[in-house]
Amino acid sequence: MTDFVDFHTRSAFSFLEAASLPEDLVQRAADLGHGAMALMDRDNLCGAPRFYMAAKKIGAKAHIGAEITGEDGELYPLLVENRTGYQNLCRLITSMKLRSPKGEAAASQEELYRFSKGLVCLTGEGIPTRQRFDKLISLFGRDNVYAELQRHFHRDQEARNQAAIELARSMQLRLLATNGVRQATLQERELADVLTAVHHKTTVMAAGQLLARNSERYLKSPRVMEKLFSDVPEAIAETAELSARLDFTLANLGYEFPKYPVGPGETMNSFLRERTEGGARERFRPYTEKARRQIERELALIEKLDLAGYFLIVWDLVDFCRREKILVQGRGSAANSAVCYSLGITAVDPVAMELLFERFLSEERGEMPDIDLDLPSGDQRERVIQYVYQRYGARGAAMTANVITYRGRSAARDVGKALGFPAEALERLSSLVATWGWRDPDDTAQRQFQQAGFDLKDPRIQKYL
Amino acid sequence: MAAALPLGWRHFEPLETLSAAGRDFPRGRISEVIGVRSSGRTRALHALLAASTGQGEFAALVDTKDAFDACSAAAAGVELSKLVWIRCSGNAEHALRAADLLIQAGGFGVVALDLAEVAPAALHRIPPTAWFRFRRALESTPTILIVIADCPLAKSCSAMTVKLPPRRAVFTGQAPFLLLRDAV
Amino acid sequence: MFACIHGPDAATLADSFSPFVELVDERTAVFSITTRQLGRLKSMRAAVAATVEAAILAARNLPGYTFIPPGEEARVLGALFIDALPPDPELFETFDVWGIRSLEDLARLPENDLAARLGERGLFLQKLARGAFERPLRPLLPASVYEEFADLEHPIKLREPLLFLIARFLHDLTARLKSQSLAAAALHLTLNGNQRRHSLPFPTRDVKLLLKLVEHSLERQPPEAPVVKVRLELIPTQPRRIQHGLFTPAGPEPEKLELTLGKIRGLVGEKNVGYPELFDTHRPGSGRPIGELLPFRYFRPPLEARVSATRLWTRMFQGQILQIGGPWRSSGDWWNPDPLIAHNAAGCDLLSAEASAPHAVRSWNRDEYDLALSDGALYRIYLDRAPGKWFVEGVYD
Repeated sequence: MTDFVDFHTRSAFSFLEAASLPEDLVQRAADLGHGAMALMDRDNLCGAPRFYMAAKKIGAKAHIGAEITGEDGELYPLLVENRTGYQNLCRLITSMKLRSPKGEAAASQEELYRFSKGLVCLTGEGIPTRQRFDKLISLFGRDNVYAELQRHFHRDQEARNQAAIELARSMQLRLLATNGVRQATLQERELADVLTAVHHKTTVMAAGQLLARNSERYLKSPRVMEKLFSDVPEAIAETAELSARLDFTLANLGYEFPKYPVGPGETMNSFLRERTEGGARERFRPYTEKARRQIERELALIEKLDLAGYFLIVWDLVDFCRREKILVQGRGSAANSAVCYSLGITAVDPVAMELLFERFLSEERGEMPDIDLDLPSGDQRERVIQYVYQRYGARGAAMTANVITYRGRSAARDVGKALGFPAEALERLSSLVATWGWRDPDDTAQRQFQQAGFDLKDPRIQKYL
Repeated sequence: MAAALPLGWRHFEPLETLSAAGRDFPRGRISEVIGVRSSGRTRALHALLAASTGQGEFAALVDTKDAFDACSAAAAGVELSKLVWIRCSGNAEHALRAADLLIQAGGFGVVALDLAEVAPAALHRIPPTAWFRFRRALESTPTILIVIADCPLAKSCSAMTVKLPPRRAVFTGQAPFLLLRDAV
Repeated sequence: MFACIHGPDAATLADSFSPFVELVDERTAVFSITTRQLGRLKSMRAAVAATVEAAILAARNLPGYTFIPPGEEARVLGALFIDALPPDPELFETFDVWGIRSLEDLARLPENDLAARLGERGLFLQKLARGAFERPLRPLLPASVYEEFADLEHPIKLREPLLFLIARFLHDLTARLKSQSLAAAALHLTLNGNQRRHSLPFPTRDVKLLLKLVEHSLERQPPEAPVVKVRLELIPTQPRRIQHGLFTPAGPEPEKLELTLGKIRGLVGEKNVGYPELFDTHRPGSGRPIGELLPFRYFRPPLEARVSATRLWTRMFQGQILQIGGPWRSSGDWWNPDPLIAHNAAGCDLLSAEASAPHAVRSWNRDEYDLALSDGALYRIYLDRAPGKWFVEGVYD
């Protein structure tokens, strides 16, 4: 049984440049008998957590990386070897994105060099030249550069492969076979083309040479890949070696909460206890034995899980708001915590309401606590945000963005546009989708379409369904 | 008032030959490129059309067997917008007549008459006088008439006959992904 | 004569003279002017001359109102400095070195020397300096339709009377085009509801030429029934500009070429004469080249073939496969799975002779192979995956 890992795959988190969700890639790779899997999305690590979780669930090893756009127009596919590499990759992405307007981020040569330790670089799909390979070697080190081969059955690509093999042999670089995956299965090529059309704001009919030349960029089984590269078997074997070499997974992130600065002779836990007990007397009127015991239990667990810093950070924010007379309200399961109530983070007396603390924080669940603070929108919220940046530094805090997933109406509309439906048909289509959701396994969709006046024999309609 | 700029050939300073594919094709004359399949006739044809259209001239291709490949021609440097393409659906008589009309119209750097793969019977029906007529019509014009064929046709009327030897294929790489590179 | 007004409200002022105004920039407007209108200009910063460019030069650089009698451009413009001309830093530097300061200095240089040293650009500037560069006005036009039609009481069966009618239409339409300094880029003739379209490779107002085109068209494709409805439309465009310099080959004379091509069309068929075109697509044969390509010639239509691991058979030849490379896989236009779906290519386009233009027909899915056969030739064959048939596409030559 051949061991093969495909190191050059993209998920839907390479926004509009690939077709499959990370979970689907993991599942498909597992079905095909891949020993491990890897994800390299374009200029981001957004899909990595989901990729990792999906792999963890089935007991597979998940390698992560990202394909970085360079200022020189080239792509740098980078894989994380160890924790240093992960930190560097995160810093690299942050650095290049902070510098540029949205959508135009690119890494400078200096950035690539500065953040190169702990990363492995593939040569990608560009034209292989001695100059380019030399550049990669000087950035990442000869041992960390792999000459990549992809075979999608194109003559010009094979010419590049032949050049790459020759160069790699003369420059002592290892050869690595990948399939440059953009979709989990062969059938998803059409979806990939539609996404390309949406990406370039055109229809599939007009997208011309932007579309795929054939359907080969899907996850292939180890046996198929072995046959495909039967003339260069070392390129297949190398994938197993590389998988063994890449040590890092998202499990060993080594994450620590920031430490909250406390005075001399204090620890975070003691400081938290003081603030909590002081606040409790204020908030619990009367301060019953039941409440005291509850607080004690919570504090003990917080100390055990080493989470004092987190609560203090939140308290600090709430305190700032109070000083500045900004309305703030903690909500969600945090309302179940007596400590939060004591600290003034939440407004509800959980003891009186007999709310379960375990809903908010429990050892078994092993999850981080999650306290949401509601703030008024506008200037005041902005002041709070600025305070956070001030306190923790521009790179110590971040706005988490919601990734807009393609659902329902907007997906229906964009897909319809890419398939070339005229405007009034688009309206009818997207309203239909809104009623029965995006993927309807029953054929009620067909009946509804027919009712809406669409000709089921039109192949575009068939494709759409 | 300034004079209007002249059209046509009155101020054209022709070079005497047009270089392509390592040869100098004489203007105002008939040239032939002869060979078997894959001997390199099409390569020579594309090179000549590229040399001509590349320097701003118009060219015409009389394509008897509808064989022209615009894609490889473009890759060879042929300016497609300056190439008039006549497809004759296999009719050699039409091809000769079309070539005649094009030479009479004048103004083309190259008129290419592609008679490759035409059945020998049809080629035999071409009267020898046709070539004399072409030769006369071409005299003192800058137009090159190039004939592509499997065997010599214009005989004494041809100012230059290039006979291409058969070639061997060059494939690189390893089976099964052998890449056809060229022929020598 | 052309008038040019220069100043902050040039556009508004120009509008009051003529509906067809060219706005060279926000402060410079040019238009055609009649003698009767001249009087109104005298109070403005304006100039009148026989050529557009002379009027512009004068209006921009001379105060008040300037009238340049035809033939006296060089005299009036001569005193202007070189920087009145459109800036060309490289040339201006050379002029400086040569001591050329005024337009008159430039105008006086011998043309051949100038052309030899400074090429086309130098010549062009000299023409401007002499006020001798002619070009048409480029006004912003409202969309106009140039069309004549007739419903006939008595159906026309013979060609002569039909041509006579069409000739009258052509006279009227070309006169209208001329009045707006336009020419025809295409001709659409509809007889009894059947339209035939002819694109012209160059804009023209030549009635004789257009009539001959129609005549050829009728000869090749006579109307199927006696004609009761005639509609003739000319599609307008800017008239042809003389582009070529003195020393480059100009190509076939356009009128002669079009007539010749018409005759050849009569010989080989409408769709078989034109200029080859490549499109933005991956469709084999229609797309622009990707990477290096070997010179190739097609068998059209492709030859059906039988293939084994070692041999190739067609009805024309067969042989042993000596070497073979591939597969080279190509698929696309998947949204057109049904070969019966054909989108109608717009009308009868004379200029695009490539029959497999991508706005036609079907999806494709094929595996190509390049092979050397024992007959000494190099072939490209392919397996059409739906429905699994082999073809020899052509020869690498």
